[in-house]
Amino acid sequence: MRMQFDSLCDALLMDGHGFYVWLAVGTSLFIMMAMVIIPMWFHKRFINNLKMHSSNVIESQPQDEAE
Amino acid sequence: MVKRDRKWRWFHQMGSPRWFYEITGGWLPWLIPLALSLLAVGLFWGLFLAPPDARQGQSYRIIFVHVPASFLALLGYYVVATAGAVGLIWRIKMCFIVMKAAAPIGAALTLIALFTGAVWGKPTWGTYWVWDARITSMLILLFLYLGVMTLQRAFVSKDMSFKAGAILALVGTVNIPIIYKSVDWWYTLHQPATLKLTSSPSMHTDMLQPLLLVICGFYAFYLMVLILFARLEILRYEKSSNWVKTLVAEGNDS
Repeated sequence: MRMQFDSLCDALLMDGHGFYVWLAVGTSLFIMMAMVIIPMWFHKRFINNLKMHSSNVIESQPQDEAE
Repeated sequence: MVKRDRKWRWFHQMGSPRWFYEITGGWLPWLIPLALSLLAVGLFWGLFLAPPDARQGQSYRIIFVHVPASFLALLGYYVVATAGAVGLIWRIKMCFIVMKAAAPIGAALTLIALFTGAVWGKPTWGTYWVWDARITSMLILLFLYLGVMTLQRAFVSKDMSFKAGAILALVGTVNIPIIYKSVDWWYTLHQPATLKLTSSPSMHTDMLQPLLLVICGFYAFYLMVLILFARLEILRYEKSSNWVKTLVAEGNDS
């Protein structure tokens, strides 16, 4: 096991296949990043909305602690 | 009676969105670094350290995202179909939630598999796209995922939406063996499977090791994203319940 490319430039070019390899890898990583960020972002936004909503409710009426 | 209750307790707990939300919240802090480091190490190894292929040269390195994504795209369909079937039979709310969370993940992974396959096709076969059995059946898989996602949002009644999505998912299961067998049944440009359970892999160890590492990384990544989407879906379903209100009030929203 050793480094297959002598320089960063070689690694980017990949004997002329660089465009295809990096297009495939880059697009995959982009979609996968979106798969992580989207649910986290919606989760945060949802909690914040609930927080704002519940604080409005507390001001207007006493909170029931029944469970 | 007590013994029977204990035996089935996990089954009922699994069906409880609150229990799922709380237990998986503890898994994420180690699951996220595990998935990301497996992917990082596996991809670095595959893209830079593995030897080039004797026939395809460097372009074969696309395999390190194409094969794991295709694996999980198919596995994701089992998750959707199983959650749909179990939910239809036993009417467990958590199945509805898991199914709804798993459909967009499967669609995204199928999209990755199709896109990387097309990009790999150009230097290898000379074309981005052919209407052959493997590629067409994967495209049908994408449409099945999108169909399930649409049906899950199509009705005002949540129960009706779930049933419609689950039935489409179960009918679509026919497509799965077709995808697996398409490279053997029909003449196709697509190469036969590199990894098989029943025989030794047709790949050199130096290439196989990083590939297996990336596949493990994709499994961990799938589980992690499924949990993220499922937790969001749980909050949406349980937003008026007391435990969510307490959770928001205390600020333990992680």
